[in-house]
Amino acid sequence: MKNRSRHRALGCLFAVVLALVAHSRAASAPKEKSDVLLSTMHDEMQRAQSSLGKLDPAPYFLSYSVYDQRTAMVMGSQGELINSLQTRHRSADVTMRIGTAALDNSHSQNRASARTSGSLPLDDDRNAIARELWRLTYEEYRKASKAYLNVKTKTQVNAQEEDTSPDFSEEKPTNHADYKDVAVNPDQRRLEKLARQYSGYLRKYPYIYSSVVVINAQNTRFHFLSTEGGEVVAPNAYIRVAIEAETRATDGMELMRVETFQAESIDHLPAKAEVGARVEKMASDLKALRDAPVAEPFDGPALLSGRASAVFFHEVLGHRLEGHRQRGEQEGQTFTKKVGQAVLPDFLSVIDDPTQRKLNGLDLGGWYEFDDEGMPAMRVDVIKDGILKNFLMSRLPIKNFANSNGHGRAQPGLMATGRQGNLIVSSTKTVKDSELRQKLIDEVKKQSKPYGLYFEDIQGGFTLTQRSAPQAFQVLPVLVWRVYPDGRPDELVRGIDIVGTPLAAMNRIQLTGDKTDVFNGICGAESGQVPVAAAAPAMLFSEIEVQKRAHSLNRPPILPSPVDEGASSGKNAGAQQ
Amino acid sequence: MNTIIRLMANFQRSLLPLIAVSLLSALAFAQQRNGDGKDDMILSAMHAELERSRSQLKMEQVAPPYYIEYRVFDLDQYSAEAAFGAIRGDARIRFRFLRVVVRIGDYKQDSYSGQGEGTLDFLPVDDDILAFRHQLWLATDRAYKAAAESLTAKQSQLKQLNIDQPVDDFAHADPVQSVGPLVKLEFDPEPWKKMLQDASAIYKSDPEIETSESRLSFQAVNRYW
Repeated sequence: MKNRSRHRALGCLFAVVLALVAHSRAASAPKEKSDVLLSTMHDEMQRAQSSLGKLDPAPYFLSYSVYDQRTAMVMGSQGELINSLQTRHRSADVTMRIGTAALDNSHSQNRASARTSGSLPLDDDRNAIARELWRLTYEEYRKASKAYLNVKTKTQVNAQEEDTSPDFSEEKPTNHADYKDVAVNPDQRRLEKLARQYSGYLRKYPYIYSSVVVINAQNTRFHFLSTEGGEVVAPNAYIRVAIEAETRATDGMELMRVETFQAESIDHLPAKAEVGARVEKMASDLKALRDAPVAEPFDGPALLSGRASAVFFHEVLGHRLEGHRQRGEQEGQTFTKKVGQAVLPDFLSVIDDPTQRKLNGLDLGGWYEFDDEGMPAMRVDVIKDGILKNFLMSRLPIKNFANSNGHGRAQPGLMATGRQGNLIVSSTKTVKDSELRQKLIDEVKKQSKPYGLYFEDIQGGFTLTQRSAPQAFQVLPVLVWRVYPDGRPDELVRGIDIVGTPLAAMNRIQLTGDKTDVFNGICGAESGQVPVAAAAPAMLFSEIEVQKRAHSLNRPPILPSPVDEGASSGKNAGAQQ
Repeated sequence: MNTIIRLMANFQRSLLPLIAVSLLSALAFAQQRNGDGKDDMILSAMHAELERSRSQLKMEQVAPPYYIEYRVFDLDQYSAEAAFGAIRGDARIRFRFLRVVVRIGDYKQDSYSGQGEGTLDFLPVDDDILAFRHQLWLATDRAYKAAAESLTAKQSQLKQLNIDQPVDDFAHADPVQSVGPLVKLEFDPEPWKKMLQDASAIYKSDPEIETSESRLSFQAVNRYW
């Protein structure tokens, strides 16, 4: 079998060198004449093709991805500015594949060998751009050719892998040029004013020891060019406001609330009054949490709000549906062989649709038109009526899934893998949201449990997908209520995390609410930080397990806040300047 | 308090470093103020919180601090980078850092070790004394608690050692009071960017130069102690 692979690899090598040359003649570009960057990328790629094509080993694929990004970052605390930055950066990723699509330098753990990154000049100076692309291309060739030799040797030495899919999918190249900006670059002064204003809302609460407002705005124009004939120019933009407030209970437990607002442009963010109201709620939640009892480990009925369910699905299910995780020999492969089988109750379906821009009037953070491999974004029906149908695919094929479905994502500088965009859960077994609490109480009574748990909000979570670790997840709730069956009012508790394993947890869902909530966030994984959204209705679980959260034993501050100590005299002193 | 302007060019021929040129010069855009610094918001905030902590900061069964130190670095920096005649990026950043050291014990043996060596935090760049004092208050509290733990850990470790000639942990020194003029970074970046582009363009014509980087950095730092 090893020999068969080697022969196939050598046969393909010849074919692809020809393909490289053929494309250099056939390239047709929908570029704007004034796009100096793109035309320089074209020229340099043609030059690289003709010179590298003569070498042994020769690359069979080369692509240039350039992200022209304008970024603004503003940070405020206590109504004042901590810092304010505005930068423009053009980062270039050169991706090169040596060998054949069946077996190339990116094989298995060598994916990083297919990419070299650097910065390009901001000026449209043809010569300066070309020189840097040339340097990155040659640096990448050195890295990729060395890796390819190692891959060939390892393939011969190691036992055959379980999934013998090729290393690179065959795709129809895309030609698309969109030079319109998604959003106007926000005025820095306006962002600074927002940071001061939003962080100032928390100043009047002395028990909130630490708080910060971070505003990130990013406007990107993505240029992609490949020797297959792919050529994409596409815009993307987002602005994200994160407001974080922290206090400490008397037992030392850190208590944190985070509110985030994400949209395509500053004008799509909620009105100041709405943000103000959410911040007020953060403050009152933290005050209540300081006095709340610490919860005990528990296993029983639970209700997750829509936002909490959305994060739950992103962590517990979504990451396990990413294509590359079905192939890695180190991966847990929870769902790899479950295609066509039930993995969820039959009233639930899951799609990942990066082409969807809005849901319930909110911008979705995982919207994009083209992924980072230049493939058009696609809606993927991942789970239909509880049955697993598909995975989130980059151009790394897996058994029975030979092609990308536009989910190859990465932050600049890293190799793309299958990632989530907008993960949306829908249900056909719903009750009105207002009836969910009673349904929880009914389940508590049925199981003769002392109480059930209502998870109002979740700050995030993480999941382990590697085989060497337990296939477990941990979700970090911030607002949890005990709901009693005997008519006592709900009781806020603190200090617990949701834990479990995916196959067991997902099949404990009994019914859902009828409204879908959205959670926009930034997701981190092997291919870096990418903006995502998750949307789901509230869900009733017959069983959720919680464990105690680790926390420090530091006491609250010894002295009162300067605000409490009548520091108004100091304030006047400052104002006199 | 100083201002540094730095222009650096590094370039390589066939990946071997050949020449490295650096030019350092100093310009001071001084801002006059009263000699005692009483009208300075940062100094006022530092004084107020220092006094409050010195007189009141104390946990049960833990000694009060015998020494508290505040340092503020007020940094304003502009940097630009060019290669082969084209700008690759430029940015102006403004930061204020706060370093707090709280020492428990005495000059002979104190808490300055490991986590007892103090804290480092950001401070607001706006001149609001309450926001400043808020950060000073929190940082002092953390530094004091860390110092308490550090001193206990240090004492228990020292009990296991036999030291013939112990050396003091901290030297006595006479306090110094000196308030100089503040510096500000005021300049037009455009001519400097043009100069950087022109300087880096010199290497455009040499095909043997693989990489070239020209950087420019202006920095104004006001230090408070």
